[in-house]
Amino acid sequence: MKTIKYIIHSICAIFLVVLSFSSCTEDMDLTLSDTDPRLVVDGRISTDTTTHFVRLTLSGSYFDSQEAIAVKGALVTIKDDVQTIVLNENPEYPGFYFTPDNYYGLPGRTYELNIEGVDVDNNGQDELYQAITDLNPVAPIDSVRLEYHSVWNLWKVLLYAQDPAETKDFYNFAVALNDSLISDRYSKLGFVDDRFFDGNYAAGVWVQTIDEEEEGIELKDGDWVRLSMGGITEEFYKYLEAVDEETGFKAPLFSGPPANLPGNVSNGALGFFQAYSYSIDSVEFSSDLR
Amino acid sequence: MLIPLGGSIRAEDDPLAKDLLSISGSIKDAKTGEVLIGATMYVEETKNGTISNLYGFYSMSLPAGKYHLVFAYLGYETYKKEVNLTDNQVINVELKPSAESIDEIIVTSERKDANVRAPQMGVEKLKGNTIKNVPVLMGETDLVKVIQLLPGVSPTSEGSSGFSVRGGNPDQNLILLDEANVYNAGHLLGFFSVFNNDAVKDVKLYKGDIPASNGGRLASLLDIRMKDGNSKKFSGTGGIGLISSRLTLEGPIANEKTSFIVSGRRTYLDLFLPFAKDKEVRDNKLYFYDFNAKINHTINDNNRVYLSGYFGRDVFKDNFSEMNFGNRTLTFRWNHIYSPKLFSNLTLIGSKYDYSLGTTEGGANSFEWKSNLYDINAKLDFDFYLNPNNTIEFGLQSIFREILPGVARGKDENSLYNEIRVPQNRSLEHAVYAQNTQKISDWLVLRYGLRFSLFQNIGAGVQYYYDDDYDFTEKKTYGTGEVYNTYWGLEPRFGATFILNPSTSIKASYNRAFQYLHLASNSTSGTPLDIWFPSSPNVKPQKSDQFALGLFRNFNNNSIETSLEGFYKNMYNTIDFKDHPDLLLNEYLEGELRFGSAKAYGLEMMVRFNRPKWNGWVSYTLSRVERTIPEINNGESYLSPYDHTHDCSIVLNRKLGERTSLSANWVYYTGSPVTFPVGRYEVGGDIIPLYSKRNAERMPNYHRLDLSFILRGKKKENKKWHGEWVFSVYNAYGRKNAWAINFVRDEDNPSITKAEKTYLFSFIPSVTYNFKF
Repeated sequence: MKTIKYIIHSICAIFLVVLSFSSCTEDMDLTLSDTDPRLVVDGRISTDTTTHFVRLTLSGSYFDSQEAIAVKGALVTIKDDVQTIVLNENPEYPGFYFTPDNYYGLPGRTYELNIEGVDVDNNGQDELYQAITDLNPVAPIDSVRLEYHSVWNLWKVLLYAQDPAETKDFYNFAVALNDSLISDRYSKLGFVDDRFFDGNYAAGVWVQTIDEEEEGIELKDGDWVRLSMGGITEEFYKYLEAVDEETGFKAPLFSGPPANLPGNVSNGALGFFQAYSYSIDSVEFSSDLR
Repeated sequence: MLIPLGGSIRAEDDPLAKDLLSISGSIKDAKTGEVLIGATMYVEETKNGTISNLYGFYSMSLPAGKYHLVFAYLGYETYKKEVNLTDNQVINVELKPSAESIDEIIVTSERKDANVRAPQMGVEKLKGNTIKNVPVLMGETDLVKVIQLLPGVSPTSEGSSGFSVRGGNPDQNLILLDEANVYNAGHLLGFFSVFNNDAVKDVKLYKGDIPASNGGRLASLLDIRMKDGNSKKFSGTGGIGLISSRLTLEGPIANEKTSFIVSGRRTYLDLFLPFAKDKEVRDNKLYFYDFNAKINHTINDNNRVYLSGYFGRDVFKDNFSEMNFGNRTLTFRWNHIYSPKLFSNLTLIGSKYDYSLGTTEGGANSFEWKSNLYDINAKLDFDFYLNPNNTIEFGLQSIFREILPGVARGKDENSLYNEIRVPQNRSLEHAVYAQNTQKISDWLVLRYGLRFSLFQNIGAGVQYYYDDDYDFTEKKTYGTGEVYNTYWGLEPRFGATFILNPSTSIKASYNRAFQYLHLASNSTSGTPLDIWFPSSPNVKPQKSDQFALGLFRNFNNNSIETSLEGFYKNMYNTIDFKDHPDLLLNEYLEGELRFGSAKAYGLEMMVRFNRPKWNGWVSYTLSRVERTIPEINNGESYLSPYDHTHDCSIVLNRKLGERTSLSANWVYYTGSPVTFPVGRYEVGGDIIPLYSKRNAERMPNYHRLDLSFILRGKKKENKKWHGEWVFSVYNAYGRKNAWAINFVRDEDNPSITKAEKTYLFSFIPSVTYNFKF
């Protein structure tokens, strides 16, 4: 839950301010061990009618500051309860495998990703990889509101929507400014489960944040802020929680031992294949809010 | 309960004791009236001795005759008395602190050769009024920081007041303040301990060879005793430091029979906040305070009662959020002497820890979250001085404990949030024990005992059950008082001391312990939000078997003490947490636990010296501690985060002149085991680290030098006010010890990843003014 996280961060922040007269962070040289490359699957399908993709890459050394190596020539298929489609490679985007542009997922179906024809461990024998996910429904957004947090100089994006009772629902949230996505990676997605407001009307739940300074943007009159709410699986929710932990600041005081993300691809591959439904709504920015 | 036991054990019933008479009484400080714990009484004619117990009581049996008794305590003038023993005799003794100040002795033993003779091993004793010379962070005298300098003890992380004993987890330490369980011993997120040194009389740390009178934790017992209060005259002590000030007042009430002590301390760290650049930070609150109080009354020679309490609180507040937490304890004790040979103590204790955090203001996203735990504890202990060769301790204990792991709800009616309540749990822990210290001959002393512990989960409560995959299966509700789960354990304790010659001994011990209460803490240094949870149908008690063997030898008329101790500890039902566990506000907490085993072994060496101008010690520990948990690290053994291969401390005090002294300590230990990435990969636009083995790498080695210089006020006759200045430097050579290592993306080029270290303290000077009147 966003609020708890902010409270804990806020308390640590006061403390670090006090310590700041002596504490400091600096780069350090470190030699790390290495490991064999593994297949990385980064794929998602949604209820939107568009080209969806699955990206296949290899893991690399930690300090190897190269783009991830693309895995080409694989046979990538997605099977739902009704049909199986083959995803196609595009030479312009190595490692990306695309669905037809009229493809969309349907809530209530189960999606199965199969990857064949790759030999990651170079033993001359192809491996098989598989990931299965449900596609959960999502409630519509009634409206979105922006509220300025004057202490931290950031914009809270507040959600108005009805959470369905009786079901355990998991959501993620992305914001965009005039069609340019701000939440452009997993670690910037907001995510909540409905444990704290199951069946309630979410009248202004704080689900996303726009930090103008950090993003290097300034909201102007007439700008549109778009919020999209994804109905995700519990598995992917836990994955996002872990992404948040593994990409955030770690310290003995509030972090546990690091651990690999709980991906959903078989046969030792890393990454996640997710399916989600989503609803969107936008709000026009007005400088009166500031 | 008291009466039948008391009635049945009398000296006459004991055939061995028929011809023996008793000398008993109390040993006190002549200046303050404080009873002295562990003072010696020695009979020159028989060459037998005894030591005073935790309440200053001693007892010795002798045939009728003339004797020369010698009463001694380190730092006090020896007192000799001639007695003509014709009947049982009560001799109360008051010892004068010796003029020659050996105040700087930081770790003391009961008697000069106690290191060799005491039938116990792995015990470290600190005196409250002498801890203060060890230089510490920000000048805050802290007994836990001194304990961390002893062999086999290390801090959980830089600056932390949490500690690990012989590789154990911090929750395996039983921390008692006047016998009350202190559930969170840290202030300010753990950087300072909750113990105000001015109110502390005596500190003992048992590293494994825990006496049968205590139990419930695997690694150690830290037994802290508060001062009783000066019964001779009204006096005060205090200090003004950079981040806190403290004041202690003590004195008699009406007459010598009743005395009190009150001690308070408050930090003003938040006074620095107005200097912060960011104006929002200036209104923040960040402080802690604590308060100790004790009153005791001597009813007559055979009865004395004590009431003591501790109350402490930490407060954090900013514009958005607030948090506060703290402990409170209350202890009532009644010492009763049934006969010169039978001493009893009845203790009733209550202890509570709670925290709350939430948003500062109400409204839609407002939120508050509370957690608390309390226990009620009754203890009855007897010391039975059967004959000169056997001292028997026995007793029983019962604890009722209730834990509310968390309740969260909106702060007002406008809040969107439902109430989330993790169901409370209740449990009982009982124990009976007996232990005998038996002198077999001049060269062999045995100590053997047995503790029987019994644990019960009782209603009203809700218990969740899980399948083999730790998935929730069902929930059962139990009515008030219904016992729905029981564990018990037999805990033998055994020790032998072979005295080879007056300055050399060999000691061996074996100890089994059970632990029924555990801490859900995923971080290595612990946080105030950590939740204690009891054993249950899903959580078996932790168990340990510890073997230790040691060689003790003193040199130079006992002014140099050396010891070499080896230990081997097997632990069962060890608890760790699955990857990315959810420990807070989680009613399915038990499903996040994983169980296995652990073992620890090591060698501890210590050289302690005590010369007129120089004193201090050098300690070195070589050890290893590893866990094996089937679901973690693919079932392969991995190092505990508290494994430090080498751990070395050097503590030195040098008296320069009449008014000045210099202290230094140097600490070195192997960096803690950590998990570093072995690769990276891209998912969802993020670069994610790939890990292989848990705790396979290490943080850089840690070392640090602290210095302090003490300047005392001029000594004058009849001067009431004594002041001293303490100037100290923490981390004098500014070593940037890594507190955390993070792997981050370069801000300018996000495809570059790099390692970044955060260090907390480098070169922190401080000054403190202490006074006494």
